[in-house]
Amino acid sequence: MSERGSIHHLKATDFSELYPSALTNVELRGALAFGTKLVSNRRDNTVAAVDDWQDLRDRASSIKTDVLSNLDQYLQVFEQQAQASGTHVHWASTPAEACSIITGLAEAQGAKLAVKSKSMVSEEIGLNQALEESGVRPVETDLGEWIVQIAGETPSHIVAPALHRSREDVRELFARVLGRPMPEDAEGLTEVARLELRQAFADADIGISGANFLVAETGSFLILENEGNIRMTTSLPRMHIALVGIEKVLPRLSDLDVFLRVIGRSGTGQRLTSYQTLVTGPRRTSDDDGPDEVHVVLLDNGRSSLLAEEVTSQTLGCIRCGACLNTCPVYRQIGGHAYGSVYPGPIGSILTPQLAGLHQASQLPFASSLCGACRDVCPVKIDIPEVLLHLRAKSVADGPRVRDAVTHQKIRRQVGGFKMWSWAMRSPRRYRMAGRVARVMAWMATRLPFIGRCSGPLRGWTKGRVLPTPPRRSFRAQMARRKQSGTPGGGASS
Amino acid sequence: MTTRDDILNCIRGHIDASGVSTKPTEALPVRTLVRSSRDDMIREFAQQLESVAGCCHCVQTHDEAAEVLRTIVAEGSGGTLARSSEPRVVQLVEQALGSTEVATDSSPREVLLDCAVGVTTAPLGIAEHGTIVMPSGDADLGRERTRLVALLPLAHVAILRASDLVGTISEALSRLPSLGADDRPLPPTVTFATGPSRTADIQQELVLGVHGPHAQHVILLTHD
Repeated sequence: MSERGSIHHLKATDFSELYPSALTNVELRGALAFGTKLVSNRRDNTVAAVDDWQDLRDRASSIKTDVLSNLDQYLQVFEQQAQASGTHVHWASTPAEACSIITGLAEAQGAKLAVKSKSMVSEEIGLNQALEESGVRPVETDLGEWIVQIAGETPSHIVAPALHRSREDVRELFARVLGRPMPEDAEGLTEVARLELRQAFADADIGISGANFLVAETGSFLILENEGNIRMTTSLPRMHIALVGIEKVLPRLSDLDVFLRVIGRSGTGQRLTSYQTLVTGPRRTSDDDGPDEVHVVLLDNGRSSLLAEEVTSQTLGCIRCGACLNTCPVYRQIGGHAYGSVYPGPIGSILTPQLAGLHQASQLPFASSLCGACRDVCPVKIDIPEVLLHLRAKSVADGPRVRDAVTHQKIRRQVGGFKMWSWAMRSPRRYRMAGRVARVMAWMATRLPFIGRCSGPLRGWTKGRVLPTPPRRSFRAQMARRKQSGTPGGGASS
Repeated sequence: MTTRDDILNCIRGHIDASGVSTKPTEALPVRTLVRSSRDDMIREFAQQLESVAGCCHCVQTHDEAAEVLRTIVAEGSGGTLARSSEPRVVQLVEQALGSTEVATDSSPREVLLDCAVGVTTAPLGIAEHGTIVMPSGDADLGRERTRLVALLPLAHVAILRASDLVGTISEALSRLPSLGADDRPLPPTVTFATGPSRTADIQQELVLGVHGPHAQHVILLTHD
């Protein structure tokens, strides 16, 4: 049985090195602050205009709970219905299996060129590399995804892959890669990309996409977009392959209503994205347009193991809208690449360690202030802080084998700190004594800056902050004085 | 055991282990608009389509429709027009452009890729979003082929009857099975299109017109 999955190019164990370099990258932080605030403001405005928003979230969440607790049944209905409409259904436990199914299909077609529309699952399994190795050239056709592909990067955001790049950045990139002068404006640059990709669409042998939702009742799948590249990808090549996580199934066609009402608003602040493409099988006669063959590859890659506990299972309700990234105070500062995973941000911090194993990404559940903004915006009501805490507890309880070196050190330090705290909190006398010691130490640290800034357990905290000067007397001492002098409510504080 | 059975067993095993069991959800009743007279829906459709930079042309007669199409073609870059083979489309294009050479849904895709305007019908419109719904067509059933004509040219013109307007996505989804046939209720592809194609992938700046049509026109026949 395949329990644990894996994520392509995962380097989340480098988190402690990746995020500081993101924090000192002024251009990156400018692009991030601008992009994330703009999109989350748009999201807030469109959501505020919906009277029954909380009802919609409840409904979306209860459908997802239903799906996840009956997942095997819905998948079997989907398979049966899809096959009845002529769609081929494939199952893959691991990324290697999914890649070999797809490259096998490509080889059977004698395919040389594949046009792709943005799919995070394809990033998760490293499909582009597998295609290249089997002699098929993959061309990303979503503008943001094409930008990161020609830059040799990975997406930094699950909805807006090139969020980390400024317009000037993109202009320089296009000029360098295409070897000619480029227009200054976004419109001109978009037109350049359109013309470059038009030929690829016309020549491609295969179209590869993800899917936002599978519909069990009809055996269909729905793909959302704004640019039209998905319509092209699903219309022009002879073969269309959709690569989808097993958790994406919905019971009925009519369920799409509630999900379409929440996903556009949450993701980009649009009431509805420009296009939704509902695919139910290949073309039926040679007189029709569209692909001769439609394939769906259902990928597990560790997902099913999340079903074992209610707290972890909710992670699979995610519809990849990206709202939690845009609102997260951590993501807004460090961006997607710092997480070292194709799934960044709050959802990535719970998804990555659960898919790939906690030991592969043990720092990520700690990369959060637990402020709860992600939970508040999540359209399917995933309690991300709850899962973060669950994973933190697991990395303490399960011991060193589930931690990387950085997490291990951090946990040992914290455990030590909390032991002291617990000792001090057990009697008033100990508490007083500990308070006195702490005040003296804090006083020394503020007078002798080298103590507070470069050494000891406070190093991480004081690197970017100045310690506040402690008051001369503790709160308890002040209260005692006040009582003595008989001036309740009055008196100076120092 | 096959991979399929392996995955399904794994799922069932974990669900049983979690002790979670949820009763299947029931379908909700179809959602409708509060104001859903024909005039309300026409107004809402036009307003929503304009709000996403689409163009809604409300006309009463086929002569007016032909006049609108003539204007759209004249404003275009002067490239070829492509049309589907639906009789209403053929008739309108003839009325608007006379015997001008046009491409059709059976022209080679290289020709369609260079067309300036594509004309099809839309058998369904959604008022709450200004959305047109287009099945991909089915030659066996004599259903209009919209797939490439509505996608490849720079501008798409859809002819929509007011009687084919529904209020909500929910209503549109409930109507989809009527677009197919008895034995295969859904056509291979159904496209929902709301305004022209767009992107904001370069520094969050909105650009209209990427891979899909740069302009989305709907000629709404208010008396049909």
